[in-house]
Amino acid sequence: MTDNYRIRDNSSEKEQLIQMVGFKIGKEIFGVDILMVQEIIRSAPITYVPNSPEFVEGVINLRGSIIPVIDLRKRLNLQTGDYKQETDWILILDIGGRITGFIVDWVTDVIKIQENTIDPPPDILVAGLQSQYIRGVCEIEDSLLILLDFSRILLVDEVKKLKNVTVDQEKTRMSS
Amino acid sequence: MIDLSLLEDFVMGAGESLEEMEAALLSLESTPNDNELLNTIFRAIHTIKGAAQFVGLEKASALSHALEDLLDLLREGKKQATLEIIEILIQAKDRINLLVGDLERTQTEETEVDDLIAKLNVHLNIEAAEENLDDKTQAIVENNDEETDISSFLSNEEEGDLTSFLPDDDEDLSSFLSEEDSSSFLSEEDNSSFLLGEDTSENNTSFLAEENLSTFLTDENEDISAFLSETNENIEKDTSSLLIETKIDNLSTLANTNEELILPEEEYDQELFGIFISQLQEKFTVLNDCIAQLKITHNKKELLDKVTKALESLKFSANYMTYEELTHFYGGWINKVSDSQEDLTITGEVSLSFMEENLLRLQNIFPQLKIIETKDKDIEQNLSQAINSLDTKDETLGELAFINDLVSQNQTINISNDTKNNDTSNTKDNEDDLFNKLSSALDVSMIEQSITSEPINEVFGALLNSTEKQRKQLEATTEKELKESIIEVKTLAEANKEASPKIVEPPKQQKTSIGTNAESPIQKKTEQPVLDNKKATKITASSSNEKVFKKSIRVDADKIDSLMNQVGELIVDRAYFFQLATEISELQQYLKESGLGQKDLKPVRTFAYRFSEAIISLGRTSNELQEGVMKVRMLPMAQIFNRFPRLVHDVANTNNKKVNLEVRGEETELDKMIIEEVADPLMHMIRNAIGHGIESPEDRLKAGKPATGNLVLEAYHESNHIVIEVTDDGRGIDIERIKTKAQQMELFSKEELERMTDNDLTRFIMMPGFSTAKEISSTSGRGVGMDVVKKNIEKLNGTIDVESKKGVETKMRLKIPLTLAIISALLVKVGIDSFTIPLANVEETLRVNENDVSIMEETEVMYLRGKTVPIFRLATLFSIESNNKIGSGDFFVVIVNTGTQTIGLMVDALIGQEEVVIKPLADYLHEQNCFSGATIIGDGRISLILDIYELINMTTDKQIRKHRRQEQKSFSGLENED
Amino acid sequence: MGKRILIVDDSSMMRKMITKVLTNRGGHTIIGEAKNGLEALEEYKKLHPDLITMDITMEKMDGLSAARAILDHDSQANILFLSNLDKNKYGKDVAKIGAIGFINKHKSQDILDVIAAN
Repeated sequence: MTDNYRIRDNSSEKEQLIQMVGFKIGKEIFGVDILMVQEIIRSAPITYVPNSPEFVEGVINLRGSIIPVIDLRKRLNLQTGDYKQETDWILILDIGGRITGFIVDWVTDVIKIQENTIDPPPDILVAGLQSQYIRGVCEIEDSLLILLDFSRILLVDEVKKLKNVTVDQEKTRMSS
Repeated sequence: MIDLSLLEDFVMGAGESLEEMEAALLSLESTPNDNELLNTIFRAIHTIKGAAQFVGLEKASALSHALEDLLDLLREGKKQATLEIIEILIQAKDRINLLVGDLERTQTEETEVDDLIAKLNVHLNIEAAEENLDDKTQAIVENNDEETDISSFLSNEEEGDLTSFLPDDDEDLSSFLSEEDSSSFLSEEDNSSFLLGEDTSENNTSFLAEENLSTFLTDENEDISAFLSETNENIEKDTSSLLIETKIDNLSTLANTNEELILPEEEYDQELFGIFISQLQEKFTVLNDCIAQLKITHNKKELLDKVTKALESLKFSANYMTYEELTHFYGGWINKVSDSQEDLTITGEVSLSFMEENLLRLQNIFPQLKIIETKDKDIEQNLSQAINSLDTKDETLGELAFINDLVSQNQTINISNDTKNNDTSNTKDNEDDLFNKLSSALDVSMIEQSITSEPINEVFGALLNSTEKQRKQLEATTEKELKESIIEVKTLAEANKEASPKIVEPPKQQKTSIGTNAESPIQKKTEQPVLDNKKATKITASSSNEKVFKKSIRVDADKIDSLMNQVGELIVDRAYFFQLATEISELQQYLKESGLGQKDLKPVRTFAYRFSEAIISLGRTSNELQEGVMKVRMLPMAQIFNRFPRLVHDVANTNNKKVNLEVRGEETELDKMIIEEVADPLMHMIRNAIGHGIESPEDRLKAGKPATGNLVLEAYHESNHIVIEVTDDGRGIDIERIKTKAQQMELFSKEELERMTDNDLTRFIMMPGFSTAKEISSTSGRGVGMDVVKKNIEKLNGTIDVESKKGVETKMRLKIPLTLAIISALLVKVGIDSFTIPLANVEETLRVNENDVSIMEETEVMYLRGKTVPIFRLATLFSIESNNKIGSGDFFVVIVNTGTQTIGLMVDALIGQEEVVIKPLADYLHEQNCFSGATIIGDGRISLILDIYELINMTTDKQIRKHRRQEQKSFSGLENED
Repeated sequence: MGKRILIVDDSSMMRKMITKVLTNRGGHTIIGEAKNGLEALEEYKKLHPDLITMDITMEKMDGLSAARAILDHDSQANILFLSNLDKNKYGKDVAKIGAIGFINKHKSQDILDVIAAN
């Protein structure tokens, strides 16, 4: 992701505009660099994968490739309570060659922001989110656009840790 | 300074060269004087040296430089490729391999080479000292080209020696030879004139009048022996300088005066014909060997295959030369062989008379073969042949009778007009050639001409010995065999009107009578001139050296994988189209039911029909494409089998065993992904077989077996699988010891063990920690590792089986699917999801009534043919909702196994069997999971593929956990229903 | 200035590596390869390269003969011998033939220098 920014810095001399795809989870607006977005699909049939980490919703068939789908709400612990599957969007992102789908509530328009308006992530939790997954924040109109660091979200170690947690949870659940 | 940018090329290129070198080195062990092998090794090392220097690899280039020097000496014949030297070469090759490995990993040369270079230098220095003398002897060898000069020169000078050395017999010998030679000429002449329908005999015979020939040979034979004895003496005493030098002077002056013996430049057609003939000669020898072996061996099928192969290539070349009749002749022969192959399977017997008959016919058509045959074997054989054809008339008569026979059978081989000229011009040339060859059979000149690399001492020594042998042989044979042969030839001459196969018997008999000499060193030397025969510009490797090398291009494996993926998608699309076709017919049905008239329905029906046509066509094409791409991924087993001679060599040496490795089916192809995965397990199995299967030579002799054990490595296809067998004729597996061990390990009770079959018990060696070896050697402990082998094979969806007869053999049998990318699988349904179970793991599917299931230690079990099989509900394992409610009566169970463990998986429904394309899952879904991948089924949905091995592990883990929980907590009623 | 070069060597590995050095470090263009003298001659006639790097020991026709043949054909040809053979032994022969130099294969910098100078 950082690579992408650097390339853009070098190439676009006019105002260093970044195009972001905005999406919503609950009330928060998030952004992801448009260059990472492969496509955006409305809900596809998801096949559940037993014994997988809890936030892995399953796998989908994207024109012959089997792609894991992560529920971003669960991954980031942003439980919004009531969401209906039919209205879900799946953002297909290319994260360092790993094609992964992310379920979000809503996909907004493409948002153009200037590189220099991005602030580093604040130390305090933003919207109940751990700062390690945030690349930066940016004010747009009245609200705050949160730029997510997807490569962190998909870090294998992180995933493993999380998975162990879920396994433990499962164990506790089973033994209770 | 190492140039890192070039390193990759070096590592790859050197690897190839080293492989080539290793193969050649191992062959060199059995034929240490094979110059072609030495050249191969030299080239490999030369390439590595050049590249190593270019890249700047100090150690690799220093070592290869020393190696190159040593190989130079070997090639030039200044040094013998003794076992000791070959061992050093192997070591050096290994060392370079290590260096290449270092470079690949760390980009530096870590391995030390100085010790080896020192070793090599020792050998090089010895040579330097000897070189002086060698140079001189070499000079003689070179001058020796002018054979007649030497002979005449020497015969004049050494009259005295000569007579004392070769007594009266020699006279006989030469006259025999002269007669045999002339007879073969005569026969050839008869043949050709007969076949060509022209009288070419004048040309042929005038050149080599019988008289001349015999006198020439007599002289020569005497001269050379004399020359040999003298030269040998000289060299041995190292008093050579003066004598030899004067001789060299004489020789070289003489050499100038004699040039007419040099063959004329070959022209294109002759060259072609030469190639044809040399190939014919080679195959002829192969065929001859095969027939000889067919009489004694049990493995007739393989030999017949070999025969067919040889014949096919002969047929091909005859066709290429546009010898139609000859092509036809070979064709008929091949058919006969395949007929007799069928006979073999039915009766176990095979009639070979036609083979010998045909060979003889061939020999009559191409008299060159006769000479080759004799030359190819021993000098002694020449003699026996000479004796054999003592009665020239009879022989010729016999051959004429054959021709007659041929004509009567309408199988005359009329060489077509244009080739006729070719042939006649050639016969003359061939006679020159024959002339040379003939003389070379008894003299050194030819040998020296072509293999100057032979250390002269050796050559002379060997020749001297063999001349002595000849003499003795002659003494022995003249009296007895001579008479016998004459009688036989005569009786045969009488019988030859029927062209009976017996005719060939005399030479055969002779062959066996001298069979013991077949291995004498001289043979290898006389073989050389044959190969180096001027006309044999293209030397094909002998059949034993034939490797499965094919023309190939190097393609990035990823590209093939991605192609494979695309094909996989196409398969899925095809399935989708099938689905659509079904939907269309459903639609048709619906429209019909909703009251649409026949007329209105017609276009729909037509469309549906055409649609299904199109799908069938698509299906065919995609099937072919899939097969084609899969074939691209296939590599011959030779890829890994070629590594094993070395392994066997090493392991046998460290264990002080004698092992003969036999490799079959190395051309059998297997997916490249699997081939690499199979290499390690196979290696382990071979180690085991040598380390523990095959006994020490002493033990074997005690047990009444030959000291050398036999290890057979065989690969073949069986439907969609490849089967690889490793069989040793060693001590076999001791069932009693397995029983004892199983009891010790408290795996089973004595009663249970008694009930088990031997095969079941044998399979125990593949259980973890089960070793029957009394002591574990450095390379292998039987059983230790067999569980690992098993695990690896099962990862490939393969199975492993062991059969053993105590004291006789052990056979390990691997059965592996041909490809990993597509598997046959059983699709099952659990709740709304479908799962895929590799068919390789599926033992059977059952419909089971709930009442047949009981609970044992908290696990559901059922009894299947006297065995207790635990049953797991997939729905429970995967925490998904099942439609199969408890208490609903019947349900489906899929019995799966991994060889050691068998469990039942309870599912809601069986969908069916399908070929599925395996797609990878993201790593975090793959790890610690019981899915090996996923596949897309017809309706576009995803079905996860069960990793049965992991699944069984998981269930045992669960059982253990349950046990623990049970210990910690009080019994919970809930789990009863689990 | 990059030159158009024909590489003659019987080892494909060597050809590959020489190519790499000459293109990556020397900025030259490899317009052809040959694995023996005969091929070299044919390729030369076809391609007319600015320079040829020539191995000595090769089958069919060795480098020395090939160089002679090429120079017979075109006396302006620039032939650079790259060989591991003894320079003292072959250096003179090479000079006599009219080649521009004889360099050990492993001295890649020298090779580049000589090529640049000619």
